Amino acid sequence: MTTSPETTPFPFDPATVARNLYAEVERIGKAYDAGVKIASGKTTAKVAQTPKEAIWALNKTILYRYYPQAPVEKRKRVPLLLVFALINKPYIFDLRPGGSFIEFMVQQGYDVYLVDWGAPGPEDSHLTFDDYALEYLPRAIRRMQAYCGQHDFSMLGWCIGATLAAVYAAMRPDDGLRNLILLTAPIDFSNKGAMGPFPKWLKDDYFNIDAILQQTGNYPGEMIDVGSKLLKPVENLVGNYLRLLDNLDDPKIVESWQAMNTWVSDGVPFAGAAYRQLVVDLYRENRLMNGTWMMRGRPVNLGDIKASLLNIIARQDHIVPPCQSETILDRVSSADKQQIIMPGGHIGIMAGSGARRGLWPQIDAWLGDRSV
Amino acid sequence: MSQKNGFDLNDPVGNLRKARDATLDAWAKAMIDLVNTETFARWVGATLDSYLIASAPLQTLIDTSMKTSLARLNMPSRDELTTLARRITNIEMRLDDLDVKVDQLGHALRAQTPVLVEMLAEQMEQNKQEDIELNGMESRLALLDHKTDQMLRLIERLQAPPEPPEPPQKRRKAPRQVPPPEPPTPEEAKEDHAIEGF
Repeated sequence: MTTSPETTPFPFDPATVARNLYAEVERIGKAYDAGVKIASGKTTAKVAQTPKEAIWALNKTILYRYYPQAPVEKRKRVPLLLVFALINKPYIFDLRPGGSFIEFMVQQGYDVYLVDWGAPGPEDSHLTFDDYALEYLPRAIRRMQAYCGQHDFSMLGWCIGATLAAVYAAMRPDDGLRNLILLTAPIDFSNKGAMGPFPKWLKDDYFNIDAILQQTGNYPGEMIDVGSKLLKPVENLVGNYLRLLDNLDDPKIVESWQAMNTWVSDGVPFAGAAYRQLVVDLYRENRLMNGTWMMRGRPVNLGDIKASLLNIIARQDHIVPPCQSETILDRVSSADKQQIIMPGGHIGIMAGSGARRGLWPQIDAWLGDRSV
Repeated sequence: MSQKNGFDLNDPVGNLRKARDATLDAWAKAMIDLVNTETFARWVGATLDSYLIASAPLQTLIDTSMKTSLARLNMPSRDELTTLARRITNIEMRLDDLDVKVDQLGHALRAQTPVLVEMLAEQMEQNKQEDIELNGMESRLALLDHKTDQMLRLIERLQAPPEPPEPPQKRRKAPRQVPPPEPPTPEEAKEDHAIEGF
């Protein structure tokens, strides 16, 4: 039996209201089980599932090679090396089956390698950007070149991984780097007004980096996590969980949420000396863009980058806003350079559900022609 | 009318969600503005400073007592392990360099293999020729040696005097005996007597 507002004294239809309430109760019933499992930690997200092997290791750094999946005739000659940030773990490139950039690229025929920096221990607190970009990265690349028998290679760096990749490209332009992809790269720290809260928080007046590192050695992963979450406190600390609560009856969304939450909570410490460089040399003094960042006695000159360059910017990036990435294009000497601005945030642009139809095919299209 | 200001009066839960989201949005924007202020930055800095000031004495105390305890238990301290780990990493780097050098040598050797095989074959052919020549020379030398021996024997026979008649057999000499010791001189006897007590 149905009624209409016209036939009832109420401004609504009680039957419809009852139906909607019943649907909500039913949804809560379905969601209850999933909610209890997540809350009790009984379900864990399966992350980093693409088959791989470790082909080289040094200290905590491991170089992985992903098994090829494409038919031989479809495979690309030039290998692709992925470099992630020194914050969090690099399996964001391979978050979950169906939502993995690595899986996608392997299926397109790329020979994919990944540098995992590992979690620095107290013995690694002296490691600097110099060590990562000019010691560990070149060694990993040397191993990759020997393994695949190719001198030319492509490199994709994401976030601080892109800064490391840019430094490598500038300091070793003749070591085989053919294609460079920078994804949300923090390079230019000059426009402090448009860079969000980080430049304010990290000011010399408020943030005593030396006192912190003296006590902690490395910069703790938990502090990085809190710092990132404080950029958007309500969204990160409340909104995220409400979104899960609203979708607990949808296993697909729950799985996706759990995978992302696993990655976000899986932080690693930032090597002390490198973190000091990030705060002082980059955030405060903008040395990379000014050409005054010294590494092993030599200034890093972005003008020395000669490789083909694809610079990718996330329009809604609140961690590395566009102004930090877009100016590099004017500095490099690359004859072949392109910039694309994608809708999305710092992580969502690459690991969100829309990436498979959005950014990934664009990277493939640009890199495919340059990898034969 | 069940629709009012975007709210569906027939869906109370949906309405609650919409109201919640609207509130959260407003709250989120306000918080983003708040964290972007100098005041918040100063507050974060002050909070961190107070944490460091409060935790430093405790950390020093823990470090000192831990070091003492570990030393008493004859176990390495954190600093010692850190130093050891750094040394291991240095060794790893050297091994990595060696690994690359071995690889390079292997590559160089593989690249040179055809040239080496050719050189080896040439050398073997040359050795074969030399072997044949040497064998010929050896047989000629042996012949020459044989002839020289024959000539020497003839010369010896020609130069040898006629053999004398055989002499009568001599009596065999008795084997030499060790002579008896001479008696010591008076001085020697005196010395012997002097060292007799030792």
